[in-house]
Formats: sequence, structure tokens, C-alpha cells
Amino acid sequence: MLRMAVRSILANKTRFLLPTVAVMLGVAFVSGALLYGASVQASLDRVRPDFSVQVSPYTIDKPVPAELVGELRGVAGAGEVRPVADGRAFVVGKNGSLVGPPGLAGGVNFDAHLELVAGQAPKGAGEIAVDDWTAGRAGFKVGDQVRVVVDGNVRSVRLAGVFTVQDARVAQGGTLTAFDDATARALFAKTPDSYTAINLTAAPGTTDAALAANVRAVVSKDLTVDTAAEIRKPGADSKLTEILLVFAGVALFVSVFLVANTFTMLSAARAREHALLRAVGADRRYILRMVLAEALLLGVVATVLGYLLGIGGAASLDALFSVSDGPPIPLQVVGVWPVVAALGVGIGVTVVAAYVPARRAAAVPPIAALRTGLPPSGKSLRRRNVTGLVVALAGAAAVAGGAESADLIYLGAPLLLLGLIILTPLFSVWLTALLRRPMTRIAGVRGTLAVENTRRNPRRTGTTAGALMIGLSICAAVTVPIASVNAEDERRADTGDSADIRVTAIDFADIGAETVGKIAQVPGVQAVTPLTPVSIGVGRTWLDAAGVDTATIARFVSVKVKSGSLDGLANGIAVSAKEADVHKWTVGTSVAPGLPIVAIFDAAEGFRYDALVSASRAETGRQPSTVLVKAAQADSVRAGIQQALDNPTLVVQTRAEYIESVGTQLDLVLNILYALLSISVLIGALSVVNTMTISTLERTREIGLLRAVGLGRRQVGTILRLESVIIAVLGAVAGLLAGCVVGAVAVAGQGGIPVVLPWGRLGLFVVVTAAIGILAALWPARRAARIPILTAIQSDTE
Amino acid sequence: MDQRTVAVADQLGKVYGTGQAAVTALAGVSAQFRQREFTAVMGPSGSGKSTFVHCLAGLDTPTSGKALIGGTDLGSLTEAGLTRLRREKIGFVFQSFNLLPTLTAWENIVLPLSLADKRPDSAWTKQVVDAVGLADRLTHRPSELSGGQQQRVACARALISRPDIVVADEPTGNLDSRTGAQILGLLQMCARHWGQTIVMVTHDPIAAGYADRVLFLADGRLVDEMAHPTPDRVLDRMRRFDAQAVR
Repeated sequence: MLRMAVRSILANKTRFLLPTVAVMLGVAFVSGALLYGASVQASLDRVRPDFSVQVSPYTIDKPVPAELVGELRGVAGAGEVRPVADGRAFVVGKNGSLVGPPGLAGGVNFDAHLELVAGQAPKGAGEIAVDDWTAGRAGFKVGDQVRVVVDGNVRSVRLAGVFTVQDARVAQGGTLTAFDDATARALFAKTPDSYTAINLTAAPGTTDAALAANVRAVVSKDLTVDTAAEIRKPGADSKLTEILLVFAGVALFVSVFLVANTFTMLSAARAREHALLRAVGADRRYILRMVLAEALLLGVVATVLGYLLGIGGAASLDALFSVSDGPPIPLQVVGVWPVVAALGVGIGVTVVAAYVPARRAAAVPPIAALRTGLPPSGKSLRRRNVTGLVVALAGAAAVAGGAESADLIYLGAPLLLLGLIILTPLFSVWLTALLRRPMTRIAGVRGTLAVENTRRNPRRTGTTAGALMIGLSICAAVTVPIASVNAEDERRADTGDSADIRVTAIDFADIGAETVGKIAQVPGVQAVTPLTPVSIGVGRTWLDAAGVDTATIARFVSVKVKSGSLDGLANGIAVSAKEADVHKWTVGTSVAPGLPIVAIFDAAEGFRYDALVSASRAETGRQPSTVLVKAAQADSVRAGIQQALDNPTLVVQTRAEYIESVGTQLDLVLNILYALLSISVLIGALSVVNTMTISTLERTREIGLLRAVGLGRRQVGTILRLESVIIAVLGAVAGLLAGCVVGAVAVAGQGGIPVVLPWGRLGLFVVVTAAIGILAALWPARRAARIPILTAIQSDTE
Repeated sequence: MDQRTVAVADQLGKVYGTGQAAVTALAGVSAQFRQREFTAVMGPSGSGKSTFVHCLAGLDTPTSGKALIGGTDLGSLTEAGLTRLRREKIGFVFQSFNLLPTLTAWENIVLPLSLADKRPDSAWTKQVVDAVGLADRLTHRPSELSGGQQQRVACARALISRPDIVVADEPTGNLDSRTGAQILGLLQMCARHWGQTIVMVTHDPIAAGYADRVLFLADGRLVDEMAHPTPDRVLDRMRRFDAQAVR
């Protein structure tokens, strides 16, 4: 049986090539994602916590007093007691940009557990030490002047030493900057005589839990005491793996179509062969097992190749997604999970996809061996259409309900898609009925033939288009919400304020206290104001106020003062008319002790604060979220500000740049999604190639006849290209429609954001699929054109 | 009567394979085909009769000699030229599978014109359709037509472009004798009344009896020619082949 399967596959290499590639891609996706995830986790697992018990504040605004260190040394069972002052410190590379990802830029007080490999421990505010991986990749040497950013301020310091450390941040590609104890406390701790945490190791013979209990008895209620086991180990960011697996699932789902289509077409082509086997005594089960054995073999080959490709993929994932530029992660080539998953997925998908065609093959009656001509073509589509309609309607109803409750979308969207996939043969019949006339007008009888060929087997056309449809529907379903959100953000950004230049900090970083002053001194700057979020307690709720420069704010925010005046803002507060209505405030009411309302205003839609106060009312240490600047020559002043700040954690943008960046901030996400979906679309394209190849083989005689009555070689290609474009566009249009509906409902469900259909992109998708159609016909058309006429006419592929 | 020569076979030869394995299918056959002439090509299996007409009609390329249609040497044509020649100068009728299943009878008939992006000449088209007697079946698909009707559609298609020559390869091979006779009568009428040149490969003496002359091929050579054949005379001649083969 297996030998027969091997022979059959070798004899039909062309037909099995594309399904193998499709399954291989899916398996590579799955195993690559799992191997990469496992490798990252393994490298993080090597970083063990270097303490037994940690004392830290419940809320970050509370200090851990320094004198507690001495007390803890006296606790029974305590070994080493190590105070920690930990925070964010960004390292600026020699090229002026940040070293490592901003989210993983750590700063810490230098102590003995940082093992020096070069130089000495940092002393005083002017010296630091960095971890060896950072020093290595940034090209720093002991004695270099290095710039670091802490609390939004740049400082130039001398690199006193380089150390090695097992730290989760460093393992993931971050940086660790060590300062001497006093400097670190000044930078990171709440007060200069406190720390951010104290780590203790247990003395031999004492369990972590016992030590924790002893420590708990000593420390105040403001502090929490946890054992190392209780503190969650830094888990690898499994999101990437999860996202990859979702898209791998989509890719594999698409592969199912390709594999099923191949086996269906193969079974039709070999109906006589199977009938002959039946006639000489093979039973149905034999034929079924024979076809499934072929599927199994194909699955095994695809799995092995896919797994190897997956290893390569995992190795390049790091670079591809620039997930981390940390120390090289040793790649795990074999894992129990990845191997099991790859085998299960690769073989499972193939065998499941081949099962229905295999059963159909087994149902061929022995008498068919004697018949000539085509086996009877497919059954009526009625049952299929009814099923599809019911599923699609149920899905559509659930999606429509999704406007009320978002959860329904997750149920409805796949149902809708599934229903539409079941209905694709019907669509193909409709579409081709519509297309016959125009295509005949445009391309003459070549158009007629192309349309008729796609109609000939609606199931096959449907399955082929369905494979493309899946990828494209997801493309549309993610594009519509992102385009809507982007458009809305852009609109709001445009109306929020009238600053010519704005300065913001990158994620995880702050705008330092010196920033506003530095900007004000740049030539050409006409006015500056910080926007510092200030929360003002009003009864049980909070008022989101913007702490601003009271003298200049009126030039930045177009506020319509309804009553009162902004002149006295330095000694009071201005509130929005909405808040005033809610609280029934009038000018003169005291919102909080010593904070009378001086004005009530209507602000532009995009301005997201409820009130204005003087920036001086912000709590100490609270930094501006944005600095707004007025300048006549925005472009040159922007450059001047950039130069004056010289801080890679700050972003300086002109108004146009800012609006554009807001309107495109999700584009990166979108592009990553496209990249992931491209694999599914690629498999969909392969499915078109596959169908075109096989149907060309089936129609050898027809092509021969056409050539005999005067069809040129190139025109053979025209017909096939038209045919394949029709199939591709059918998939694109059905997929995009479904995707847009789902996406639009998802947006509508969020409320407040108008749905924006990105026509440009949708059009581009259609064009791209049409191009895919043309490309997909390339190879089959070449083959078809090369068929010698006589051989074609005399062949028995009727 | 002007009997212009429309097709010439000049020492046509075809050898398959090379060296020891070479098989000679045609060993230099010359013949001329004049206007209005209905020629049957006969011979035992393996005599090269099909290869002969295939080479003559540009479906196959001869390894020696040349074929001319309307004065054009087929060997001098490019692929595109040959395609055009097939479309405009030659009409084909095969033994089976003559029609595209996806097109209606009408679309099949005008296919050579459609491929050349030409509009059918309505008077001529009507004449052809009336002659094959399918005026009421034009919107049917081949699967809805009988074997005889399909073959008549094929004949109409071969005639529609008013080719220099119609090449029919066993056109009645798959038909019963009554429907076969209709096809042969149709071809005969085309030659006699419309001046159509027809070359037909057949192994059936009765079919050959419809022709104006018969060419006999054996072992890749032209061995005999018979004018005004009747089925009996053809059968006699064929018997002699068999006798030779036995001896």
C-alpha cells in the first residue's frame, strides 16, 4: 500500500508539488513560532532571581526607608540584605540614538552582585557602569564619556566600569546602567534616604517562607514582603508566539482548501484507474486507504520540510521582528511541543483535507472503468447553497449583534466567513453569468471561453477562490478598524490645539524638568507651555486638568470663554462647560480649597482635558506629557529645539508631522499583520496556480482543438490568464466584502468612531489579487502553450 | 472548369526517432489537390495516411519535402503564421471531440472567425447553417446534441472561414452508417456545389465512394490513385493490399 502511494506521488509530482508547499509553509509557521517562543522562554528561565525575599512598597509613591536595611540585618534567618534603587535609565549610543528597546532600559544602584569585568565601580554623580552586552554593542570602553537619560534629562557621565549580570531586562536586549548608591537613590528613590526595594537572601537552613514571615513582623504595613517564588518570574512575551500561531492557523486553514482541491481533481482524473482496481477485486476501503496513504505520505514530507524551514524561520524571527537585540538566544532546534505540533498539524491537515475526496474516489463503481469520457460532474449545488446560506445568515446575525456586544463578533465573523466559503460556488456561477457578455465584448471568444471554463466546475472554482478569500477577508477585517481609528485620531489631533511644534517623550520616557526652559531659549520660539496632567480631587471623583503656562495657554488652545476670564488663571482654575454643568459650578465656586473657578470655557473637540490650572500646581516629580511651542518658522525652529535638547527620548514634531504620525501610528501594526497574512494569501495564490495547472492538464484536448482551428500560442495564455484572474478576483471581492462588514461592525460596536472604508487600500487589494491571478496563470499557460497540437488532440484526457 | 491547385504535397517525408530506432512513417509522398476536388486518402493501419494529412495541413512538421497551401510553403511560416493559416486557410474535422463543450453550437461554428476577431458574413453563414440543417439547434451545447449533429456542427465550423482546403480525419469513424452517410453527403455537396477542396482520411470503402478520387498509401508511400471510385472498386483495391500483406 505504502509503495503504491509512493509510486503514485512520484508519478504525479506536478500535482502534489503545490499542496506540499502549502502545508509545508503552514507547518513552518507553527514550528517556527513554537521553537522561537521556547527558545526565548528558555533563555529567560536561566535568569534566576538572586534573592529569597523582597521588600517593596505597595504603591510606587511610598519610599522604602534606608534605616530598614539595618533592622532587616538583625532579622532571624536573614543572610545578605541588599538595598535596591531601581528605575529607568536610557543609554545613548555613539550615533546619538538609544541603545536597546526603551521598555527595557534599566538603572540601578551599583553593588557587589554586579560582577565587574572591566574598570571600577562608579563613584559620584559623574560616573556609571553598564552591563557588558550594552558596552559591547554600543562600542563603549571604560573611560568613555557616555550620555544617559534619566527622568527626561540628559547627562554626560564617565563610564567607570563594565559588569556582567543575570538580569531579565538584559537577557531580552535591554540595558542596565549602574550608578553609585547615593546617585541611584537620588535618581530613582522617592526620597534621598530611601530605596525602591530591599532584597534579602535566606541564611542556610532557613526557608524563603520562614524568612518572609520573620521580615513581615518587622516592616510597616505600607510595605509588601514577597518570596522570590511569589514574585512572578519574568515570562517571555508570549504574545508574539500566540499571534504567530493564530496566523499559522489561518495559513493552514487555507492549505486545507488547496489539498482538498488537489485530491478532488486527482480523484476525478484517476476515476478510471480506481474503477479498474475495483473491477479486479479491490473494495471501497482499499481505495479509501490508498488515497489516504498518499495524503499521509504527502503530510509527512511536508511536515519534515516545514519543520526544517521552521527552524530557519525561528532563527531569523529575531532579526525579522527586531524583537530584541539582546545577547544571542541559543535556538532550540528540537522541542517536544514543536515536533508534536508540527507532526499533528502537517499530517492532520493533509489527511483531513483528503478524506472527503478519498471517500468520493472510493465510491467510483467498477463499471466506470469501461466508460469513456468524463465521470459525471458534480451533484446539484442546492444542498450546499442552502447550508451556506443558513450558516452565512447565522454569522451575519451574530456579527450584526456584535454592534451591541463585541463578543458576538468573534462567533459571528468565522461563521459568516464559513458560510460565504460554502457559498462561493454559487457566487462563481453568478459572477460568471454576469461576466459572460462583457468579457465576450472585451476579449471576444477568448473571454467567453475563460468565463465558461470557470463556470464549468463551480465547486472547484469556489474552493480555489475560497482559499484566497480567507486571507483577504482578514486583511479587510483588520484594515477597516485601523483605518477608522487612524482617521479619527488624525481628526482629533488636528483640532486639539494650535501649537506649531510639539515635544513628546517616547514610550517609557519622560520630559525632564529642564526641557521647557531649554526650549524657551531657542531662537525663534515665540511661546511655550507644558501640558502636565494634574488630577484634582473633587469629592469622590477626579478632574483631569492640564497644568499649563497660564500666560500663554490662550495662544495654544482655542478656548471659547463662556464666562469669567483666563487672566486670573494663575490663582485659580478654568473648567469646561461640560464639567461645570455636571457639577453646577459657576465662576467663583471653589473646586478645591484655594482653587476658585476663574473661567468656564468650551474647548475644541480634540482637547482632552476638562480643566486648566497653572503648571505649578502639579505635584513635584510630575512631568509634562507634552510641551507645546509657537514659532513662525516651524521647520528651522524644530531643528533648533532638537539640537538644544539633544535627547533621543524626546520627539520634536511640527504640526504637520504630528498629525501625520498620529494618523499612521497603527500602520506598523497593520504592516506586521499584512506580513503575517501574506503567507495565507500566498497559499491562496498557490491554490489558484494548482487549480489552473490541473485544469489545463484535464483540458489538453480542448486546447489542442482550439490550436488546430487557429488559436495562437499566446492566445492560449490569454484565456488561461483571464480565467485565473476571474477566480482570483472572485475570491478577493467576496473576501473583502465579508471583511469590510466584520470590520465595520467592530468599529460601530466601539461607538463614537465613524467607520472609514479605506477605498484606496481595498482597491489595491483587488489589483494585487488580479496580479496574483495573472502570475498564477504564468506557469500553466507556458505548459499549455507548449503542448504539441497533435499530441493534445490524440490524448485521452477527455 | 478552372481546376486551380490549392494544395501540394511535395515529396513529404516523416521519420520518427533517430538512428537505429528511426521509424519511417512517410517516405516521400507527392500529390496535388485541386479546387472542387474531394479526395479520399486510404490505406491499411500504419500506412502513414494520417501522418500525410497532418503534415499537409500543418498539424505536424515533415522531416523532408514540403507542403504548400494556397502557394505558401508551410515550412517557411513562423508559429504565428502557421496559426493564422490554420485559422484562415484550413478547416478541420476530426474523428471525435471536435467541439468545445463550453460553447454553444453557434459559438463553435463561428469559432475560427471569433479567434480572428472577424464578424461572420451573414449570407454565407446562413448558407452553411442551412446546409448542415441545424438552424434550430444553434443555442444547444455539444452535450445536448447527438453524435451526428456534433459532427455536422464540426463540418459547419470547418466551412465557415471558406478555407482553401478542408481536412477531415476519419470524420465518420464514430458514427453509425446512416448518420455517417449524411456527413459524407454534406462533404460531397460542398465539393460539387460550393467548389470546396476536401481531403478525407478514411478506411471505409463506402466513405471513399463519395470522393472524386482515392489516394492509396502503404508503408509510407503513395502506391495507387483511383479516379471516380465506387465502393466495390475501392474494396477490390484494398483486398489486394491485404493479399500483399499476407504474401
